Amino acid sequence: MPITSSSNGNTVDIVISGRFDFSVHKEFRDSYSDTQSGSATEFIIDMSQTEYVDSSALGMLLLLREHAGSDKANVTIKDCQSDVKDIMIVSNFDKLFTIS
Amino acid sequence: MKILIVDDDATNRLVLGAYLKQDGFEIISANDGQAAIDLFQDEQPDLILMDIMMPVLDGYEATKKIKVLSGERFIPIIFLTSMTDEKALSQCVEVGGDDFLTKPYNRTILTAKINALERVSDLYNTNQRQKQEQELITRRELEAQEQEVARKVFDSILSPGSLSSDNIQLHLSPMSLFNGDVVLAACLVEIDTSNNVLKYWNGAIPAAYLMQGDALIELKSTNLPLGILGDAGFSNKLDLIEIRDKDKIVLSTDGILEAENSNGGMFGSERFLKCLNSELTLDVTRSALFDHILQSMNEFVDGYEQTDDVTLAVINCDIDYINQLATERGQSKKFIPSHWSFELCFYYDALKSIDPIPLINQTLVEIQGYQIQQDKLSTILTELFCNSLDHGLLGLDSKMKSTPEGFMQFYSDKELLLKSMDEGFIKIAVKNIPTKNGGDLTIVFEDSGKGFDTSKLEKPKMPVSAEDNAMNFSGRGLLLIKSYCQSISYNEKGNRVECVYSWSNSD
Repeated sequence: MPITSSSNGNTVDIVISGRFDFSVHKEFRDSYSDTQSGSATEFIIDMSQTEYVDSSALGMLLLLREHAGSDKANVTIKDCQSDVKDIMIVSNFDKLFTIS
Repeated sequence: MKILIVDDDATNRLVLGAYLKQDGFEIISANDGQAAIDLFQDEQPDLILMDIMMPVLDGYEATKKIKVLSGERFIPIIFLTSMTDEKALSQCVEVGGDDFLTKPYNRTILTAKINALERVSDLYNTNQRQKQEQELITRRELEAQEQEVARKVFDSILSPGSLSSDNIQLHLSPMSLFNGDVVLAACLVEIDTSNNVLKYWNGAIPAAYLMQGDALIELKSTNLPLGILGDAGFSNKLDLIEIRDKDKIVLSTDGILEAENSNGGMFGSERFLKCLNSELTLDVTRSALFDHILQSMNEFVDGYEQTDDVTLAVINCDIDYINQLATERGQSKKFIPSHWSFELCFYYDALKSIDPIPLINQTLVEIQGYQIQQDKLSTILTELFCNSLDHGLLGLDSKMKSTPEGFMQFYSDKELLLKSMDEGFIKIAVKNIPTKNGGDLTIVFEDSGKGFDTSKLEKPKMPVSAEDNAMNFSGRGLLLIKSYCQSISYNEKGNRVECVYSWSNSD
């Protein structure tokens, strides 16, 4: 499975491996759609295994952010590989997400 | 011509034998079926006259067995019978009889039948012999072909260059040149210096060892030699062992272990291991080990003629040296930024199953090596391709993506539309103009779609605030392209986009 998720209390961990593009949009949505919406939940997205993201992946991350309470959202994207991080920075995602 | 007469009646045997001797045939006889079989095997007659009713084994059973024993040869059997009922006669033919003769014998008919069958038999046997000769020739030709292929493989494996490194010592005897074997015992080793791991695949090399400190580790053969198993049975599973700096790998063919002296004794693995063990405890240089083994073997053989190939390699795992070597090799092929262009066109049916981006990336690597930053280029190509496909060919509106539900809808619509698409194409042209340190890559995507009103194309803007971005789920692709490319422009119709991406040598 390219996308796995696990929840622990108010924290949801999502691990994305391989290519993160529109072909996994259903899986990605399923990984968080059962969680309570709003800022009570913290999302940690582990992208250490993510080899590639495209613009639709960025859109999907924004949808997650909206689910998690938009500007009050608590979403961390961690351990991006350099190419992926580059795309995050170019897209100004560091202003919307905590990128660690 | 030798004829076997089988009859339990002595008188019949005598009379028949006398006739045939007069006609110049050599006669042997048996008095029952079993005796006939025994005699058949000992005397190899050319034709058999067989009575039916006999003690021990009757003529039918004896005939069946003799026909089996004849194999490919044709030994005619004529039944001698006083029976005239059709069933008995047809049974003669069923069990393998070639003709029959009813008693009392007419001498003229008997001789005529024998002569006729002799001619058939000659014809058959000649034909059979020619067939065998032809098979032999075909088999020889096949073997020659196989050997030719094997020789080429062997030569390629042993091509010099890769073996000339300072950390490899190699002895190849004259018999190491291709000796006609079409199976190849082989041991492949890879020294991975970044992980300090020795990876190896051993197919029937009997003496392969790793010398590590004072330990001697056997690199056991767990595979058959190359050339025996088909693709399905072949295992490319590697065995792994941790290695340390200055470890030594010793590889030897069975020719060393089986090197013979004049008394017929073999050098043997015991002597071989003794050489290795004696070097383990001493702090000797690698050359000493290599010479030690060859010297020990030569002393043992003492000039006796060599019968098998003797190949010995000692590889020193000098990590620094290997790393340095790898760097030099990597630089050996120099890609020079050059003028080139190519164009690809994918029609609707191809677009359903082919992702052109890896293809283009691979082509660029073939042309310019890894000098062009693949990650950024992949992003540019993917976004351009998605735009041409989603908006150009499929006519999807990116405004759909402005709500979370629409975003999902967009992609499920895309899947459906892609499936039912029955016309259209996307043309991709890539051109490079070399610059001082790299090149300017012009990338053109043209689609057969309706295009769009380019005057309404919003100037892509960086999201300056969180609110600005949060409600905007589309347009990021164009933004990425814009930030990586020197320029981006559309034609008036809006079905052709041209980007220029400047790249410089990665190193």
